[in-house]
Amino acid sequence: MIGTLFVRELLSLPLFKPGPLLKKLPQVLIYVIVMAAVVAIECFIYVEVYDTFQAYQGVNRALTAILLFVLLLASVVYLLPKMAKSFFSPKERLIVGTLPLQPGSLYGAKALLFYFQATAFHLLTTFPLSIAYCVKSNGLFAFYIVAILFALFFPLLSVGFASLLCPLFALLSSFIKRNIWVLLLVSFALITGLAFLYSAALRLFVDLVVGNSLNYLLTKDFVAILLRIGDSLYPFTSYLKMSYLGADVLNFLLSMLICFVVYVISYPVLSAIYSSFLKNGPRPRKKEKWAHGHGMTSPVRALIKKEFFVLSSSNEGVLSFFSLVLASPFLVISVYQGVNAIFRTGNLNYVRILFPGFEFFISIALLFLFLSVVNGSGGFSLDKEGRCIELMKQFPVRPKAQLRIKIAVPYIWAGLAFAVSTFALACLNSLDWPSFALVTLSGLLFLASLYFFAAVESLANRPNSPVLPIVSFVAPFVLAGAPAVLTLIDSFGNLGLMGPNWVLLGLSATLFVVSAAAFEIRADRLFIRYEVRAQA
Amino acid sequence: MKKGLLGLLLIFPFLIAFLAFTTSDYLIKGVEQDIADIEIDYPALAPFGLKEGKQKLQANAIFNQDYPLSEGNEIVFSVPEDQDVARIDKEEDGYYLVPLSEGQVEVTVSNLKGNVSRRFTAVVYGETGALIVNLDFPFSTAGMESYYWGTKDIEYASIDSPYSKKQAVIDFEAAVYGNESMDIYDFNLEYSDNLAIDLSKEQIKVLTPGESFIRFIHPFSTTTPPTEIVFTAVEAVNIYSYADLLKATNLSENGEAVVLHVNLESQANFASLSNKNHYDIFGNIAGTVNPEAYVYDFETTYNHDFIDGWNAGISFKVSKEVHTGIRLRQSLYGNGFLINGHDLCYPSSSSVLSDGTVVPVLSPSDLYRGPRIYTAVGDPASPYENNTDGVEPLLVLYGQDNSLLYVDGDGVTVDNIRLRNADFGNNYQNLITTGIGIDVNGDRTVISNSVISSARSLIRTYSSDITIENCLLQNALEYGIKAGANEFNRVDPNKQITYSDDNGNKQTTTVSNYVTPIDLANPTAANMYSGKADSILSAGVLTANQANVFISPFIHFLIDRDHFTIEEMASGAQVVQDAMTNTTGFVNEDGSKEYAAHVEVKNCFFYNCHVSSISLDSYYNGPFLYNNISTMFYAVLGNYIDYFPKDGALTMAPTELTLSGDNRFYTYQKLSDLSFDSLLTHDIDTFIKVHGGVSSIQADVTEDDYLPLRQLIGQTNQALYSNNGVNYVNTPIMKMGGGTNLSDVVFEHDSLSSFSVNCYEHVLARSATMVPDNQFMGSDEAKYSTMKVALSRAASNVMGFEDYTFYTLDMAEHPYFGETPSLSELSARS
Repeated sequence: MIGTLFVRELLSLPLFKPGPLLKKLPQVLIYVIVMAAVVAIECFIYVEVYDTFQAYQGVNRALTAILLFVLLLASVVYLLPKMAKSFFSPKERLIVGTLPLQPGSLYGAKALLFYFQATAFHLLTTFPLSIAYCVKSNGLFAFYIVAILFALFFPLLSVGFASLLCPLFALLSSFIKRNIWVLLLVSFALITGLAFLYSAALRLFVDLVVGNSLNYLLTKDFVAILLRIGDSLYPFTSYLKMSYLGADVLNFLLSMLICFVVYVISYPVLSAIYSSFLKNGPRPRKKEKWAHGHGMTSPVRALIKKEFFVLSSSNEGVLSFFSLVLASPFLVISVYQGVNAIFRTGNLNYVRILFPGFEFFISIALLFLFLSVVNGSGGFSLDKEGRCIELMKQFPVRPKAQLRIKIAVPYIWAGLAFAVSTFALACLNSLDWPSFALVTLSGLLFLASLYFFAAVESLANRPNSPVLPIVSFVAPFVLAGAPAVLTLIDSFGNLGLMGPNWVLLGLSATLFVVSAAAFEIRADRLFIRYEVRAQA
Repeated sequence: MKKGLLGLLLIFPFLIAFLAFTTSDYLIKGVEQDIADIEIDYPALAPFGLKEGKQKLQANAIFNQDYPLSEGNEIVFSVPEDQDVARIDKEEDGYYLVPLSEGQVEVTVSNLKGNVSRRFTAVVYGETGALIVNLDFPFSTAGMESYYWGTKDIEYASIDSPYSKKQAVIDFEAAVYGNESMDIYDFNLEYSDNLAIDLSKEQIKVLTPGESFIRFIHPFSTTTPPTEIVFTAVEAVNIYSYADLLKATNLSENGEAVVLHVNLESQANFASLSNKNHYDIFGNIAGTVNPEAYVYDFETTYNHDFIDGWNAGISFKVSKEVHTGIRLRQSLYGNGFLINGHDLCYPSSSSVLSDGTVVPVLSPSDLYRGPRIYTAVGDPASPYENNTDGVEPLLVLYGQDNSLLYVDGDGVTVDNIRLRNADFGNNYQNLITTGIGIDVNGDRTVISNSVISSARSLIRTYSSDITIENCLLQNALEYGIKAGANEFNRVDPNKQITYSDDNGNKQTTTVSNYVTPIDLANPTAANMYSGKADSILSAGVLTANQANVFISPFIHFLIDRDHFTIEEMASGAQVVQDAMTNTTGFVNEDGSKEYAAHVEVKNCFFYNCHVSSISLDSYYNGPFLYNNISTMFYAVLGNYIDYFPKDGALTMAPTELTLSGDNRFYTYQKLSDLSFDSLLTHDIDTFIKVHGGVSSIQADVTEDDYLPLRQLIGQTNQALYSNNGVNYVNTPIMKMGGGTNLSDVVFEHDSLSSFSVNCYEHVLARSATMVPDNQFMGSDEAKYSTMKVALSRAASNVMGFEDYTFYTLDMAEHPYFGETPSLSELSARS
């Protein structure tokens, strides 16, 4: 029975969903290529880092241990939401609750699936890095065998920790999502905190790169701290030391046993909680409070309020629209300044000077990609309306007006955040003031284009349409690249071409006009049709 | 998808950062590491009983543990041979002192090489008894025998409160060994009039300055030598801690004369001491070590016109502030004590390379980060400063450096001090940011009986009359003594210059006319080949390479690359140098000179001074610093550099250096180890890489390209001594070239010979890889080779065309080769 249930669980994954072979084969091929690319890139970066740090005694082993520890944490973070969603899904409970299935079998199937998922994660990350470490450090051949064993045993630790944390995670998630203000507050606090940490890490990194010498960071004292941290990260250090002669095999076997023990402890704990959930369902909520009436308000205000709540009620958690928008200035400024500093250092300084316009290209592409990613998170999405779509048609407000309000609410927030970002960059002398004005205007026009296209494509209900992906992810490169190419050409021929910011503005305005025209012409008709297709 | 892309955007800077990393190799300029000091637990007068027989002698070596010691650093004990008081026996487990008869004998503890030593007097006592008198604050057992005591002690509540001076009191301990029936009162006491002795309190009061002695004579033994304490009392304050030294110097309104009675060590060395009596940490104020807290800052006395002009612009600012650890406005009497400025002058971090080499690393908080910048072509950025991003320093020339001790007054005597900027290990390069040992800015200065060591340069004296006598100067990255003047003349535009025109005819004109840049907007053959400064220098740029092919499209004129011969260009460069030189007020009509400074070096030993033991400095005064000629360089560089030096070709006032007495120069080094790259900073490699468009070639520009002094010295037979097939050089004196150098060396004894080399003539003879002109722009190798050759001549256009003059020992005799200076020998002279 566990086998059958396991297969069911497996088939629920996108890769294993049944489908026509002709459609499935390219999908599988893409997955394989992507996985191979991920392994290749991470190994390449690891080898580069290893070679760079090789000049310093003891650093590489410590850093590798720290990296493996981070990957352990990443695997737990990767598994937690999946496990919480899988084990504590009220919808699934309604389905499997009525079937004559043992909770133990259900749990076993899920546990097996997550073990395989964790193993896949570690085979893609920990295992190739371990092999790379052994190759670079001229380790013993036996380590390659040990690495395979490690890749099979170590996922037990990830699943074990994730299993122990899963019920608490599920509880917290449901609590946070229940109250919109708590959700916003927690998301904002979390994402802002992460943004600050990211800024600090990037700043440190950029200082290191600009200082152009690892000596600056890898002082004796710092290396001693690294070694202490690395050596205390059990079981990773004992695992890495298996690549040397005279390694403590017993210590390593003990660490593998610990992985097993953690899993064995977590198994009955989560199993018991899952069984209880299957039997009793989720904890009942407290009595709902009556909502206070606020009296009559205008339709526009009501729609704005509605839109605000739709945007906030997100399944995305901390990556919800508002939290991303609020954190985006911190992230944008950090990344923009960091990349600028890096491009003025070492080999990349040479590239920057050799190709005038390259710096413009990278900077503007980054800014606009951030806009795409943050606003593509659901700044405009009809799916979030859910059943309310049926009501929308009955509102005594013209469809286009409703759509304009639906666009305007997220657009204003996102636009403000973008303007704050560019203003801050100008204040920090990363952008000159004339560029600030033009880039901000261009960004706002691009953002508006994004929303208009998103509206049109959502209304057209074409999930496979390439328009939105092209506008979101290709257009930034084109908008940034065209002025950069013109700048490059100008540098050779001194043609006195228009400045890149003006070209950017022109292109953004063009895109805006096209998108606005598409919206204005097609919105009403698509809105009507949209409902019809949804019912069909 | 969205989360993945967001993650990718956030990781992007980290990913590309690895592409920006370039690792630079740390330069190794090997030098033998000797021990820095010796710790002994014996007082100045140490009793040894005849009846006790032989006693084992103990001593500990103090040195930087991160670096291996060279051979010859074992601790040895010795006594004079011509005496019968005691002898030293070397046994398997160490050294033993064997008393032979009653009396006193000086015991020397040193490394085998002899350049680090201490001594104490062993008093061998028998039944007649001997009086041992030791001061509570004794004179150092290291250093020379030149002892002082100040007439005043200072007292203060805290470092920030005012101080007061009181009469100095010397406490001592006295005990009679060997005869229990005797005490101090039994001995006949003699002492100088300026002292007051209280035997009951065992105190000496210093009443007035003057030669002082206290002598205890045995009442009945005529063979027992008297117990003596001899010193000179001076009008000065006594220093017993770092805080005392600060109060009397940096924090004093007018500065006091000081007499040291304490060693100021580094934190690391202090921690390793087993007996910390008479030691303090340099930088220790009330238990907190912060040597940077009270440094004295002042504006550089070197010319800073370029920095002023640069700072008036909108780019990053360049500091012209110099730091010094101790500002001396009156004399310092060291009594053989040590000032080790390691915690101030040396980088506070270090890194360990895979081969175990320990490399010092500057932290952002480190104050000493190399010399101030004098002038630059490109951005005036030093690799040791916290620079802004994207700087492009093509050529940076240095001025004044930070120092540990700054003499800022007239008539200052620095006597019997052991001064060390850093415990730097075995690589000269580690001294690159440690600054100067003693920087002198005052007249009638005397530095005597001292050991100055381990700094970028040991003594810097500009516009000061100074006598350096009986000193050991060792371990310098650049110079033992660097002498020059702050006074200068600018170019005289009205000076008459005679030059040869294109037809070989002599023409006379003013300097301003002679150095007028060629108008590249309207190039004509007459301008290009006029024989004037720019035409000669431009010819120098273009000869034996294909730079004319590169330049011709910009100026619409194909310049003949070999229009002038090398001889014509070399002699033309000398005319240009003459045009840049202004000797008004420095050289009289009869040829005699008005020296701005007189430096006398007498009876000194120089050891491990990497560039040269003594340097006579001059300002670089190439024409590029005056009005940016050759125009060829300016035309090319002007595309990438916004700010150029103007009117910066200065003629330094002359200094007279006199060598008298027995000066010895022990620095023999392999020709291949000789290096002058610390004198300036360049980033020509990056310039070629970024702007030269030669992506396929890894640019590698070394000092042999822009300052080929090592090559030129290697071609001078009189400078070389060959030993087992390896060429060694020893150049005690270097008269800096490039810029006009009017200084002179006077010898009491003719023991040095001189030779001159000219870098510009040497680089003029180089040629680039040539290809057909129509293939030049497509050939990375030809372009790279041309740029390298052209830029090597650019360096002379900036620095000047004056000969570099070196004074060398008689290499046939190669005196002191393989030897090390003996501190005992110096001490015996003091």
